[in-house]
Amino acid sequence: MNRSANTDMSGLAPFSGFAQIVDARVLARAQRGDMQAFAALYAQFGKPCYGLGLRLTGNAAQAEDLVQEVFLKLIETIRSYRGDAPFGAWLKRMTANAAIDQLRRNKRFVDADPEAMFAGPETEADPAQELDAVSLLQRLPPRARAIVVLHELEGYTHTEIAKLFGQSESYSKSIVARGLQRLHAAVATPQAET
Amino acid sequence: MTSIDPKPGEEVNTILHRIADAQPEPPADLWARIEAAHGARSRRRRLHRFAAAGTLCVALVGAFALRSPRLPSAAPEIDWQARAQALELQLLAIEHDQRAPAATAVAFDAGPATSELAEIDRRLQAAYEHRTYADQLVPLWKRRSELLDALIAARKERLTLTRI
Repeated sequence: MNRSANTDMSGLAPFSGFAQIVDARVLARAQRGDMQAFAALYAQFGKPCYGLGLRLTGNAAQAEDLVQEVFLKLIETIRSYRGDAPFGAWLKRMTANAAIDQLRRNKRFVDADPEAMFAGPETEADPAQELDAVSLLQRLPPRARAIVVLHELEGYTHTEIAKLFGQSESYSKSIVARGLQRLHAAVATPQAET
Repeated sequence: MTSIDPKPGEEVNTILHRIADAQPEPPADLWARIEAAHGARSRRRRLHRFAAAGTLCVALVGAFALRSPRLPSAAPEIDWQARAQALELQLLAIEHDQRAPAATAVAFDAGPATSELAEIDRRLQAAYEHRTYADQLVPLWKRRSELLDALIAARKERLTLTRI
């Protein structure tokens, strides 16, 4: 049976997102600076990269900027990729780092104190999409959203998040706890009894 | 009276999983924009490299010019004004030595040369009055030197003949 490279060990479920396997020839061509190879890598990973960017930033325009930044960096740094980690994991890490850099560059998001971070008014969500997935995440401050997404959705540990943000583990734990608390509160909207 | 949803945690988890499973499509032209940005960045870098190389070349040439000993010019520039003035003094000295001015016409007809010399002097005077650029004066001083050379040669020749 001919099992595609982009399926799991059973040969049935296709790998998706950042878990996809890259054709070694495409990778080699990209490392030689072939733009067509980069176009092939974008065709394969542009979507998961954009998805992660959208989850981390909560904003389509910022997610597009993020993807652009990541792929421009990829073009410049792919020669340094030695294959120690799967390519998708490497790219995912690069995307997360770029999102964190974007948060750092935006001064108003650099609030390291969890208390202060959650002290501000909650972002208004569109009442028509009260429980819409994206609008739910938008109830969190930008930095808290990125931390909650990394921990709850992308599988990052508190240790990893602390390292990425240059903070302590307790900082990461505190943000995640408070973030989830806020999301729970948003979902448990009081309903009028008849 | 209000009631709270008993399982908000589950609902949040469901929503978060929905977010994780979502595969939003990036804009169709995003790769074209990335390629364009890469092209622009490459061009900028090439330009910077070119400018840096140019600056380095200029700096190297400048440093070389400052450090290298000055080579003598192949054809040193002649100060025609100084030369003309020196020749004039020489001519005056020769004329002063001459004992027989009557022989001048026989040995050398200095008329055309002296009249041209007078014309050159007039033009030089006019040039200085009109503040003419120095490089425009050079041909006049050069011609004056040539005429004085000719007059000196003629006077010397006549002096020799007179003494014989």
